[in-house]
Amino acid sequence: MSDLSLAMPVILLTTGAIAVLLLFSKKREGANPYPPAVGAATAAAALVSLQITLGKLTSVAGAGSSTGLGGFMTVDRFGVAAATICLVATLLTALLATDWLKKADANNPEFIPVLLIAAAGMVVMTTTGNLVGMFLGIEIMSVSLYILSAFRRGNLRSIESGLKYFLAGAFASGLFLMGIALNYGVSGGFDMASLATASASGTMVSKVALILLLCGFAFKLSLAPFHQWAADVYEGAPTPVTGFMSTAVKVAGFTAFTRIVLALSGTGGSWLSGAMVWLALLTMIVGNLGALAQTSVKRMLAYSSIGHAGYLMMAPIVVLSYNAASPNLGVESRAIFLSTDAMIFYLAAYALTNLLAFGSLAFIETREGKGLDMDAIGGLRWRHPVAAVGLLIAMLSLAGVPPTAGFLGKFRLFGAVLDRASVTGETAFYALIAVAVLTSLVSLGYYLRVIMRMTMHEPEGEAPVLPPFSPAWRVLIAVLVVAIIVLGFAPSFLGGGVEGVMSFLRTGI
Amino acid sequence: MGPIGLTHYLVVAALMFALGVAVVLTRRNAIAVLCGLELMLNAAALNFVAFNRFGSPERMDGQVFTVFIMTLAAAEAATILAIVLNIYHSMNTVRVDEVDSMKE
Repeated sequence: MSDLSLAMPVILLTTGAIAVLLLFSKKREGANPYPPAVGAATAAAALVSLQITLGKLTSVAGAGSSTGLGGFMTVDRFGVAAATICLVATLLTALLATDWLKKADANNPEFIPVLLIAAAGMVVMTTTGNLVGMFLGIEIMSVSLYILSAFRRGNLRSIESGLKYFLAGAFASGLFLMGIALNYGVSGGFDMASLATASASGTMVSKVALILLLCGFAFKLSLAPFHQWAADVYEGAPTPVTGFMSTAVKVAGFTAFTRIVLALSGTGGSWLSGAMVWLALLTMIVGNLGALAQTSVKRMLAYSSIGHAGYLMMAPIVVLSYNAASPNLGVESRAIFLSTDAMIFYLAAYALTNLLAFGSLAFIETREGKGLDMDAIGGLRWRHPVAAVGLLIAMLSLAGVPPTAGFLGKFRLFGAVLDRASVTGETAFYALIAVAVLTSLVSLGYYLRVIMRMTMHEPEGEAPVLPPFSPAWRVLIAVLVVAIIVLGFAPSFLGGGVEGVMSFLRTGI
Repeated sequence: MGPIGLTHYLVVAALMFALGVAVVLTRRNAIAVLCGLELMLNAAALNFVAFNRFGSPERMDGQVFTVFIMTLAAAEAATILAIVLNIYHSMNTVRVDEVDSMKE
């Protein structure tokens, strides 16, 4: 496959960003609905070109991945599946932000170009087999997100969120970069195979490199105890941006991290899994208990997203437990397939759900001009039935109640870990499952509280007269609600998306 | 004292990195924190150049990555200075511990 077609999604996204800047940055008077439309169209074009690449991948017999641009891009099904979720999240964010961008202090057309460039960074992150590419992708994404977080320049909370995100994110980048530098020193390369070489050498420097990489990712993925920045950043950032950050960034981050872990699995990197298990356990507990104590819906969702990161962290742990010396390699490979497949499904379900939640919240916030504490959603059922339905389905899916996508995601992810636990018999996996199930039960407490607030606190007096609904927004919420329920019934809708992981394993190690 | 070799560069880079981390963790002035972050990035860049020069001088990959890192450092500095300027406009401070409007 030609280099150009591999890089096409990234080229399209950056071209779209530049086009919006050239066309619309002069017109600042009044609300301009065109930049979000162009942004959504660009994301859709990038999606199409990604699927064409995927089609070419499958038509080449036996080749599960395609490498180009001097090893910079490694496009396989795992990466394409993750990049697809990121681009869908970008598209939905551009559409959901249309209404919100009309607000006086957010009415800047630069929002869409920065969003598109963040998406380009995510595509690079997910479809690269090279640490340089991964680092650059992370940075393109992060720098754009610092800007998006601080986008409401007159709003102190928004700027504060940008500052805190920057401080945590740039520190993480420094750690991550030093990790790459040390890995380069040991192995002399930047590709994923170099990680395996360095890890197999077992030297002290290679271990320090891996610890630095793990710490960098722990910051970026808001894993406890590196999560302190997340609550303030998510609460302060503009609501559509929070939705984007809590979904697409998690997808890209977990995919990149899993790629590193895939390269390490079976090469003596398993000493790292102890630290990862503790990170996952702590993240699940801190996230879910923290969410219980919150009075702001947005802050509650921030802690909930920390909790979900803890569940997701179980997938890389299973991948890392791959035992190359096992007599039954089929079982070992199957564990990797099951866990990465479950992770991608979980990420897709979580992305749709959280976008629905934040889309509904952004609507409520724009219409009522108030904050997003628990009182703001009191009696929502009577005031905004559409937003209330959106939020209801989102909360059920986040809590993992059937028949929603969130339930199936949890079912498959926990199932993959349980499968691994029964094969290896290690207590770590049983501990993970036990804590994951218990914290899921705890999470019902705060998700149901939102539903109770919406449906049981009938407002006193006359309901305020509110601006009319935009029909496009209603359609969007309806589409998301249907998608979440359909995904809960028909998992095969996304199924088979990541068989390429197997071929990646063969080529990557 | 022999000629300057890989170890010298690595020691300097390690010291720079440790200083950078210390500055980020202890200083509360946003500009000082930015200086610490730059030290961390430059320490890694020095490592790349040194490993490239002494490990595989026929390839230029480490040197090229350093150019990327310099570009990135510039982009980060531009972003954070814009944010800090906005903070200063609304709060009259650049101390990160005073910028705290969202604690529960």
